[in-house]
Amino acid sequence: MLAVILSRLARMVVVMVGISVITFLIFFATPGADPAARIAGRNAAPETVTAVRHDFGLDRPIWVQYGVMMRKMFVTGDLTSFVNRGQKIVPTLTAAAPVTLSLVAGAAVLWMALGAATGIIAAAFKDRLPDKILMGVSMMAVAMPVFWVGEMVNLVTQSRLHDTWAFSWVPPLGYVPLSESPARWFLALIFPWITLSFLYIGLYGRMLRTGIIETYQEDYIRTARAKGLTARRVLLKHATRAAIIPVVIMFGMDFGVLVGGAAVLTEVVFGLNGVGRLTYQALKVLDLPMIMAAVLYASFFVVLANAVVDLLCILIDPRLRRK
Amino acid sequence: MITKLTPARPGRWAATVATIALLAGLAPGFAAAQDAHRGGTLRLVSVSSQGTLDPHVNYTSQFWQLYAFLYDGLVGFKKVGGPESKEVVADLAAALPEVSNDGKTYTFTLRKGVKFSNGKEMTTDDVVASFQRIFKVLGPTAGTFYNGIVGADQCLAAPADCTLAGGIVADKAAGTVTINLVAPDPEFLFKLSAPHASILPAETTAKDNGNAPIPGTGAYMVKSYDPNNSMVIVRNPAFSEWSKDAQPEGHVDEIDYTFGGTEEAAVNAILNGQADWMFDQPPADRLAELSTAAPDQIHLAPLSAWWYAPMNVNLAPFNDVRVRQALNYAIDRDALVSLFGGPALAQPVCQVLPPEFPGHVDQCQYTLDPGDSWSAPDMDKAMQLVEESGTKGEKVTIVTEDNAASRGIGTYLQSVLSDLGYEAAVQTISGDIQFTYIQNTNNKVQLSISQWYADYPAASNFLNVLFGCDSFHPGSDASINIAGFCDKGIDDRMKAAIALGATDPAAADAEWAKIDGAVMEAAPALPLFTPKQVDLLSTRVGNYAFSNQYHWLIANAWVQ
Amino acid sequence: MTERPTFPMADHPTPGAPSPILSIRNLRVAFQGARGAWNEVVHGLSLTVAAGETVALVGESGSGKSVTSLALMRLLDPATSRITGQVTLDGAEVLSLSEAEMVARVRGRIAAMIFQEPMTSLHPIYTVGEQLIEALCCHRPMPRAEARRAAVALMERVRIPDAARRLDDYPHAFSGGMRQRVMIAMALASRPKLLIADEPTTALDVTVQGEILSLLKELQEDYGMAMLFITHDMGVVAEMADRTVVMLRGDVVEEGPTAQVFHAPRAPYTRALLASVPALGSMRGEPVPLRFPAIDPASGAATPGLPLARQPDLGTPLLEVRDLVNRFDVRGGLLRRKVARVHAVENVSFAIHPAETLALVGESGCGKSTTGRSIIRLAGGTSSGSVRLDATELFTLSPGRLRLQRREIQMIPQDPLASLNPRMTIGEALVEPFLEHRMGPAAEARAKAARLMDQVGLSPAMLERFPHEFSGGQRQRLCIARALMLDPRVIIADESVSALDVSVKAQVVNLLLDIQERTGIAFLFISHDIAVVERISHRIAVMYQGEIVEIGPRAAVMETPQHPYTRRLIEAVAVPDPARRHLRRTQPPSELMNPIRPLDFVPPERRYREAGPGHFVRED
Repeated sequence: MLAVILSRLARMVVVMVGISVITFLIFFATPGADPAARIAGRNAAPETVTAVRHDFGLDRPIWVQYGVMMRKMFVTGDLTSFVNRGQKIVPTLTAAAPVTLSLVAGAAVLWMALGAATGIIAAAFKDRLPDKILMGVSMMAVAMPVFWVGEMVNLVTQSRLHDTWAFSWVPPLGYVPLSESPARWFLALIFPWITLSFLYIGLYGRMLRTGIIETYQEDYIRTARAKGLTARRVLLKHATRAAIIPVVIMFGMDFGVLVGGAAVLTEVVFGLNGVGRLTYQALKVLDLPMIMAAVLYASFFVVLANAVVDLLCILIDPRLRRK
Repeated sequence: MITKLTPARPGRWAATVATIALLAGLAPGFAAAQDAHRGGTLRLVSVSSQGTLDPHVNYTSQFWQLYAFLYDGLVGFKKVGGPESKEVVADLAAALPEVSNDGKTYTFTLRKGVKFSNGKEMTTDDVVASFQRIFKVLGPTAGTFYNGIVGADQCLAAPADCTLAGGIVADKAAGTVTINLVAPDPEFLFKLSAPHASILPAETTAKDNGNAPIPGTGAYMVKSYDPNNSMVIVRNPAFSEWSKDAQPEGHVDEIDYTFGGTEEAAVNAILNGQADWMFDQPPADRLAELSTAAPDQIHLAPLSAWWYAPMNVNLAPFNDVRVRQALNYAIDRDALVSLFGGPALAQPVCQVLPPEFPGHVDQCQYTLDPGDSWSAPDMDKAMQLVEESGTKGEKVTIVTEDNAASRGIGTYLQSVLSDLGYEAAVQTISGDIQFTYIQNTNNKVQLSISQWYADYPAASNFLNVLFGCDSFHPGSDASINIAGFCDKGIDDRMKAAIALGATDPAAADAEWAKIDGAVMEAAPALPLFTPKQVDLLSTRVGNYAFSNQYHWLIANAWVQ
Repeated sequence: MTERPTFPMADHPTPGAPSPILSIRNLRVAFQGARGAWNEVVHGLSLTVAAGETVALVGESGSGKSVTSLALMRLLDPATSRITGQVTLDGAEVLSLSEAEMVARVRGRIAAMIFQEPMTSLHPIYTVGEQLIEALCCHRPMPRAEARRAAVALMERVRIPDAARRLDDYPHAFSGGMRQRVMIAMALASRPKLLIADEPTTALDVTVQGEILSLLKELQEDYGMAMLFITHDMGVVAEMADRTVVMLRGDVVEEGPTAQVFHAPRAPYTRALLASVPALGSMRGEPVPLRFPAIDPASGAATPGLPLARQPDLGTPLLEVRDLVNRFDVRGGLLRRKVARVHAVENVSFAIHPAETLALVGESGCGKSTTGRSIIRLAGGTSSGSVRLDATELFTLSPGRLRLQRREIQMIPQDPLASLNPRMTIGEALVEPFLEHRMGPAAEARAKAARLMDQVGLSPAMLERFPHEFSGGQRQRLCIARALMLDPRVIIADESVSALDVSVKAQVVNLLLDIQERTGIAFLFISHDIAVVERISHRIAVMYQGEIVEIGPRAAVMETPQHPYTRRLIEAVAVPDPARRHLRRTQPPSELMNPIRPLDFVPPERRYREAGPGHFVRED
């Protein structure tokens, strides 16, 4: 087990170093990205630009700059932003992480539960009305851009119907820390959860439905039916359990990527200042230290999520336990 | 002050123009008993924050608006709405300075009893330290605003050892501070009014303080700041009002500024009474709805700014003045205004200095019938000029920002250039990169779209900064003379006009008007339009006042 | 060797005989195909199975025998299938029951089923214990501990060694034979009155097949079950069935006591079928390979097959394999370190002469296929030893030269569909290797392809078609034609006829013999089907755990087998003759072991003794 963890960690470090080096190089290859001029400000005198360049170490060889940045990020922890000068990167990121984690974790619960329900019900009623309705709705869910869905949700709950009985309880946009008030945390996140999970419910529902239907062609399903199991038991215990493995793998990928920052659109629409928005802002203003930190953070979660998924798959599928 | 306006889209505008124009004149101006309005919390929202809180470093209109009531300089702009907002009044100095030595020496007598929010009394030590600090923190305007102070060149060369010896002389016992300049500078008081010359406690560390608030003398102080989340501003307990014009005691007790979300969501929040004001401009497609649903919540004000398209005078085809003039003749400035959202949000211009700005005299060379104002494009003239230049068929790339307004204008210019016989293309770059990208001559940008917002009300802040030889730094990302325009004659005239301003401001303004004309004659840029500010307030906010310098004067407003 | 008295052969089941367990009357099954058209695949089948009786339903693929079994358990998808007629199972009118009643009364209670593919018929992610307990509890709820005890008892009943410990193993930890035992245990869970066995031994090795069949016999007796045995294997039928029903394309063509069907077949199809069946021992006294009889499908009249007219050229060997070794590493742990080594092929030596057929027989995992692939260096892992083709050492050739030499050795695969590119026409597939080896211009290639199509019994017009438009037998002919395109001197036929129906199998074997007679090609015929091997080969090599245990002339190996494993292999083959039932009961299960060895394993030195001329046996 220790070997497993160590080899995973080693792989993670390799991935993260590679990604950070590439990010770093891309940044310095971008024209118009000279951090010194941007830090110095509009119409700065050349002396000021030179002084800033020196002050921020931007006149040193690029690998030295990389080393310094990595040391500041991981050893001394005092890496500061190039844009929001004085803003410490590491605490900023750790402050934003719970927001994203709350958003993605809640949405994940929702989309796994409803996605599974959708897939199972649709498969059970294959080619009949409930299946057709569910697949139609999930097709829509997959097709609708999350940003648009979020804006529509806001339009209804924050604008058009905000003063009606239906939505007057909806709190203003923004995040409330769980530690501050669990109830308000929950209320503030309800619509972001729904919005973010919508696409994935559709996606996972369709995927699970296909998986279950394919599994029904398997010999072992025939065995289960022949030995006299009820249709429900065959569906839930035999077909779904086998069909859920690719869904779990996909879930791990999606979860990691979202926690790593891919939920940016939902975050922005609902005023949740999480990692995604932080990354987006950093990219927009080319804030190299923040970009580096965000990229490393994201890759960490993607690799971590993959490791967890591998583990989960081994738990679900005993065939993977061999060797 | 790199302010980004919200991408505006044309459409659904015509109907609302009249309503909004009417409202603009209706800013509440009545005075009321202050006690009645004291208290409450003002809730401001913005899509994003603007970085460091350090007033010596930050160079954004968003935070300068806050510094108005957080910090003071020796002098400052009058905190009132309307044209008077361009006036400089004594702030931490008891009175406006005595100017002597042919305009090279300014002597200030400090007010007594002014305290920083940390309870410490402000002294001449703080003033000296603050001026040194401008250089030590590598302030963005250190080399452009304050380089005229004696000793500034050593400070720029070796910021860490900055003393400004001979430049700033304090007499602690007398409570006076004397500033010596290398040469007379008629704009020096404006520069002292900028937040970059705020007086901070002497013990403030001489590096960018970032998110940590520095104690100030203003009516309010920052209690907490998280650039990714929110800023909380409360009353400065050590404050007592010394001059209503310079630093009025505000009405509200607390100002909560939250960052995040979208413009769309901010509009909803204001309409729902969940927020009181948004920094960003409301999306253009919601203005129609706002003008009917909440007409008395919208406030419009022209800005001391312009949108323009610098033409690189060192690159073909714009190295030929006829081509630059031709393009100026050819563009339909009404079309540009409607691209930005219509006459309610912008007005057409064909000169550098914005309306009502010092030195501005209505003039327009590039129109069908040249005179005071623009009427219509003169395509024939344009075609003729292009024909003469013999540059037809050359390739032109327009570099725009990635917002709708900039892109729209770029596409429009592309069509005009095509009509003139050029092979034009549009290149779109992320807004924050575009600004530095178009400045660097290495990137060989021929034509780009940019904006400039005045730092202070002086013609040189437009003409000399944008088209002076000193602002052109080839190969640097910091070269605000984007057109690369350096005309020795005009440059000398601008230097002379600056000097003249020290003795005869009226004559200087007249000369600036002529220089404006001369620059436009050489046409290093296409003036596009003057943008207007849209402020959307919640119903509970009263006493709206708009300053040319600080925009909405937040501390002057009340919520009860 | 028959230990169990067979049912009286003349005992015709009379209609209205006391309570048959299963009675099917006029069963019709139709499937809805593309565009909603209904296609009937079973046309009015009627049969009965009495208590304790075994009825075999025999037919080739597409005869509707498996569909029948699924239909009477109502396991077909009701959305796309239609079943009419009458099916009575122990008094229950199956076709008029609701799905819930089927679950509650019929499936697993009155009737249980076992299937062809034990590898895929068990759920891979539940332990066999869970699956057994599920079968027990769904019919008779009981406490978990009791269910576990019952499950262990069932596993012991089907003679799974170490049952209590293996209860918590997953199916993948079991061999095919063991899995089929688990399936049988599961079917027995509710003591059904009828066991439907759908090709239960087809996918199993021959020794395991014998064990499973004898287990089924024994259990049938103990439980007093009736059995409906669905198979295409006439040997199995002869071994098991009291009565036999022969199906052809959805119709019953013959029905009667098994002995009568075998010895006095009435229907031409039955006669044709029986004539095509390779019967072990039928070659006794035949000196050379013998073709299967040619059969007239209309009358069923068989014209005896002609013996192979060409004799092997016993001079210098064409292909000589010496000390062939193939091993591959088993990696484990997350660092993917080598943990063990599979000795897939160990010191295998043999020679093949021109116009000679050497058969390589053995059970799955014995290394016979790896041997075939190692010869043309297509096997993974590391190979060593020497392979000489006409004195050219293949193992030291450069890749380029090797490619040229490969032309001389062609392979006919087991699964023809998988080896044909679905997006290429047959013409393109045939011409491609010819042009690849620059053997001549395209026109010549096309002419040759047309000629070969004719030779393998297909129309040259079919060259324009795509692989999916052909039947299984036709595809195998296509693969043979493709191999012949390059004028090879050796063909390695790896289980090339194993998956084919009996009659098709006979035709393809005859085709191979025709080709050998005409061209003098040499075959390395790899197969587990000893009855076919007996017919086609000049010499036989028996492989066990990666090694040859016995090699010699066909007659010597088949008639006087020396090695115990060879004997076991031959004994296990079911013979299509009800009079020669020979299975022993209560056989201990034998598990075939994979030759996985520790990394430091040194293979023992082997010696062979000569039992007769050219007949060598490993000394153990």
